Amino acid sequence: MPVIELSYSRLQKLIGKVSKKQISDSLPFLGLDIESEDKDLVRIEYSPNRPDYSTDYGIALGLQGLLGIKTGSVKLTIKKSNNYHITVKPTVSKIRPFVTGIIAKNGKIDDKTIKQLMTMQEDLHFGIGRKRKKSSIGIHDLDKISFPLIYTTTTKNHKFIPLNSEKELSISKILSDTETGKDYGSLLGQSSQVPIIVDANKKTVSFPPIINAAITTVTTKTKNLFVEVTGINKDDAEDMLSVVATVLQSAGFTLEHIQISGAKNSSPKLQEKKMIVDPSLINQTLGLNLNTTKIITSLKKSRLTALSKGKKIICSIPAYRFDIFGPMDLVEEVALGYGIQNFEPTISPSQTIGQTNPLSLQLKSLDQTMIGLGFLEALNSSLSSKRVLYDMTNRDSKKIISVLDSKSQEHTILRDSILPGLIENLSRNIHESYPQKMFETGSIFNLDNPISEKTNLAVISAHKDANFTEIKSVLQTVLKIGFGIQIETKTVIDSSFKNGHCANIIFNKNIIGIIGEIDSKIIDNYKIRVPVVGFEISLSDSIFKSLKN
Amino acid sequence: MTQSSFWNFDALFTPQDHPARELQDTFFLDNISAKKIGTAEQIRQVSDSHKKNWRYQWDINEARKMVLRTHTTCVTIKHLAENKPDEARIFSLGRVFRNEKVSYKHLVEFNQIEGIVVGKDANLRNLMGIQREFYKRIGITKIKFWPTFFPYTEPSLQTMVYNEKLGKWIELFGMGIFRPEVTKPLGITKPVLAWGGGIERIAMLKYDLDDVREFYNNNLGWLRSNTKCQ
Repeated sequence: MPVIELSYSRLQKLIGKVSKKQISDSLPFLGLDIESEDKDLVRIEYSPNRPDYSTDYGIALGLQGLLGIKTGSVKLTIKKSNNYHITVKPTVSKIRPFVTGIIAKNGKIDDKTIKQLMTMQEDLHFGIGRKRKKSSIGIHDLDKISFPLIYTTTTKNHKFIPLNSEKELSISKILSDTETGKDYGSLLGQSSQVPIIVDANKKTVSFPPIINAAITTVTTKTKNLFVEVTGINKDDAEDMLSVVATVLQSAGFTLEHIQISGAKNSSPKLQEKKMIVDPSLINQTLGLNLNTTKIITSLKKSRLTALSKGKKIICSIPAYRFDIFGPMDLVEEVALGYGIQNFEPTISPSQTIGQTNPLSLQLKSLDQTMIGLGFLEALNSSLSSKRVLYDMTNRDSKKIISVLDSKSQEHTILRDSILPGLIENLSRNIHESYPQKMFETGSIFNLDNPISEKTNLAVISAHKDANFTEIKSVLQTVLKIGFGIQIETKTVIDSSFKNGHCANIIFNKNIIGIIGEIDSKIIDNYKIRVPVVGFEISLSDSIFKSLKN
Repeated sequence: MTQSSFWNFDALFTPQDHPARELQDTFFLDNISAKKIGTAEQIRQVSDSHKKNWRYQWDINEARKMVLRTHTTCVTIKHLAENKPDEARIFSLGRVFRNEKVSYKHLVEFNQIEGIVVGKDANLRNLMGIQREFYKRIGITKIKFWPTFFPYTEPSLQTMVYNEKLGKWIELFGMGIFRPEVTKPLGITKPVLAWGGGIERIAMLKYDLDDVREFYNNNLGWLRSNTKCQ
């Protein structure tokens, strides 16, 4: 989840008359997690559904509402103008069809603002932009550009000076040599043409979604901004624009319209949408009894303007709140505006009877039986490694189920047996006293259209006198006193066990497991200095199934 | 523990192009897809919900990809979709998986408890009441609720509990009410309260551990030394 660093003093300037403690106490009630604090600075984590919280301007808007300083919807005031046009050529339609944008004038840009705008861009790109695929932003110094602009395509030979470069580079070079070129070049597909925004003097403004031109770089000397958003879906591009526009207005800029036309493009609307919510839905869901006035006040504290109409409530939702899908989202906004801290928990009487799943009870009893026989329960991961499951135990690794790109080398393959993990546990306890007797019940996995998960019981015993008779006695005892069943054993050869000291476990004419003395090679591999005996049986489909529930 | 992406993500209103669904957090099984992921009706309704709300091209092959479940909520939602109870209280305790680097506070595989309440009168205050009662029974009384976000619940909350030893508030469980975009496509008509979280953290507090890996080291010295009757 994304994290940003805020300054309490800056927030105080943005919000109005409010103390540091009021801010600190209120942040969690906006749904923001405080990660750490250091004097004036505070690092907070915000949720991906609220990209408007990616800057302190956006957070200030939220806090103003919650603290009752400024409530109701944030209204975007966009000056109508005929000064700014973007024409879209049909050649972009197959690559990155839509562009939208806005002008933002006369705002104050300091280093902190630039840093925040950059963070906001990157968070928007990663989140709703889906790594720039759906939409991406370019923010430019307006005064370095001459309108009208054209959004068109060009060849890979086209040259311009990109951001952070001192010399001209061709599109091909940008794609192959720059970081953003390498990361996002694949979004442009196989076409030999790439999208580009050029101004009236044929100067390159931007190469979406890759990189801006250097000449339009925003600095602390910049007074006016041109914001463009390109993407593969018009609504997504406008959603992204709405966040940027709202934040820039909140930062003190005056917004002005851009006319956009050509190839199915049009000027952004950035309008509020209306949504009706029934007070009974709110009260039933929240367990409250709020009247219309209280509901409206609560919505206003969540920066949403609402009016009552008959028995219902009509809410005006600004464009940047595209996280609001339906009336239930408004229910949450009421809860937040009302204040989560004001909810009194209640217990409703239950008309259901609780019980543990019978299978869980069986497993628990089995565990207790093993403990009664003197064994300690071990807990191992379902995800193991080739080394533990196969290499160290001489087992066949033909049908492995592995995971992709695991960050942990020890967790790459789903185990198909529990015994290898227990033997590995013994290897970590060679300095502990003997006898060492352990067991584990747990899931094992096999390929089976697509995967079958079964429950097994595995038991091992390690001490200088460990032998086959001992472990067979344990097997027979636990099955007899646990389930009242008897099994047979039949000698078999298995690479994990000593030749002649290994047998299949047979129940109702089916092989349900294996038992024996662990092969000396394995013991030596693990540097264990005593003999080890063990067994593993399948519980699903056999022992558990045979019982009457 | 293995689940199709359909139940782990799609049915829980998590779009297919969402960053959380990528390799970085989720274990995808190598080259394993499920042929049957749900009924034709379930697939149609869920994909329609995605198309309408998230505006992208829903791909059934993406939904077929098998993952190691990242939460037990996929088991819950599947159960509700198959049974559609009018009234129920169900819980589960199971292992979940996150593709992260193992550390003193992160495991690749850990245990989650999950509880749900289905009922025509189920509401947010009940959900909070259940949490308070649950914590009380495991000896935690100082708790508070904060808002949070999950793709499949609305409203969503998290509980913060006060740990006397550490002298600070720590986050414990997440909870919420399943949003209509999740329940409606699956034909679930009554409100569903859902809550849960990892239990290793509570166990660490109880056993006074600083390193969560201790539970899985199977160190006999530690296993043998823990008092069993307290």
